[in-house]
Amino acid sequence: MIPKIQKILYPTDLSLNSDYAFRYAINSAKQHDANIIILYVLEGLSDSMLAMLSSDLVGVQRKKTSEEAMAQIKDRLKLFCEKELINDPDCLKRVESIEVLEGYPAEVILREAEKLNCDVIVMGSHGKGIISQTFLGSVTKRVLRRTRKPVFIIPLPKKETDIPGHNI
Amino acid sequence: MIPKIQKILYATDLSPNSAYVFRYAVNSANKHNAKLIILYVLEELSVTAHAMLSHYLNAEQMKRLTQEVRSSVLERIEKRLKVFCEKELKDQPEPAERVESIVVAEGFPPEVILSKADELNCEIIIMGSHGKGIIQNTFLGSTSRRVLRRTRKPVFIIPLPKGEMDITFHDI
Repeated sequence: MIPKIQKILYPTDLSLNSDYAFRYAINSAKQHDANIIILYVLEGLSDSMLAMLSSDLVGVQRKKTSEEAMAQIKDRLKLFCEKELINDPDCLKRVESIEVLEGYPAEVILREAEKLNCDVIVMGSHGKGIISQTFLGSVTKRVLRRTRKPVFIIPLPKKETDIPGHNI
Repeated sequence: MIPKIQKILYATDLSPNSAYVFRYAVNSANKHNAKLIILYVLEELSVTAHAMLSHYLNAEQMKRLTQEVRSSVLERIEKRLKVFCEKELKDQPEPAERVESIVVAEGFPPEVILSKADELNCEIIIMGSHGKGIIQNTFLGSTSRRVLRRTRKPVFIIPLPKGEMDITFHDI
């Protein structure tokens, strides 16, 4: 029984490393004839932060801003896909959906991978918080620790990368 | 510029997990039309083990152990990997074409995996999340962790599936 790869979860935090990993996601999707689900997780405010902001007015305001932020991120991701696939517009069809959710990144990635029946997760080794190149990013590490799905980890290459869609 | 995958390094420690990973390696190699390199790393005796053994064995025996016995072990492992490949790839149209080479090397596994990946120009590494030393399912194996920490190449990490497996190195 050869394992089939039909659905690829590509979690991104909009970092350069994530944008670079997108190319591997696309490449895998093409070769395996699979679809891609793009997932961005908007980190929620911490409990202490919430407590500090917890007047009703702020609550309504907060909901509105986070909805706006989510819509903006979704637009940015859409634009990014179009820019990346400018020479290969057919590939856009492989992007099944763009999900922007709120929560704790590692948890949401694991939950969505399960819920959406993804066969593999493709993600960058480091996200935003690059401290040292020699360690694995915290979200990637948490996902790897707990998942039962294959994970394709993509580090940034040594040489310069040209990702036109990165600065949208 | 879409990255090309032409050579895949499949690192195995002959554990059940890595047997299962082989299918992912073959699948990826087929889909990307890439060559596969199979790598097994025989761990060197630790300094302590060496010291303890040399306490019980005389120089002659020690020499035999470190030279003849090791080389026959390496040979046996290579043979086992060959048989495993043949068995797994029997339904493939050109099995011999797919596997470029079987490499059995000695050393510290993560280091040898990293150096071979560079030396043999592999674009990606495929390995299991856990090797022999399964302690807890929720943690990454030490070799995979070390490779991930230090490599600049994409690494495809395959955990054990939930159910039973129909693939193993152990019946060879």
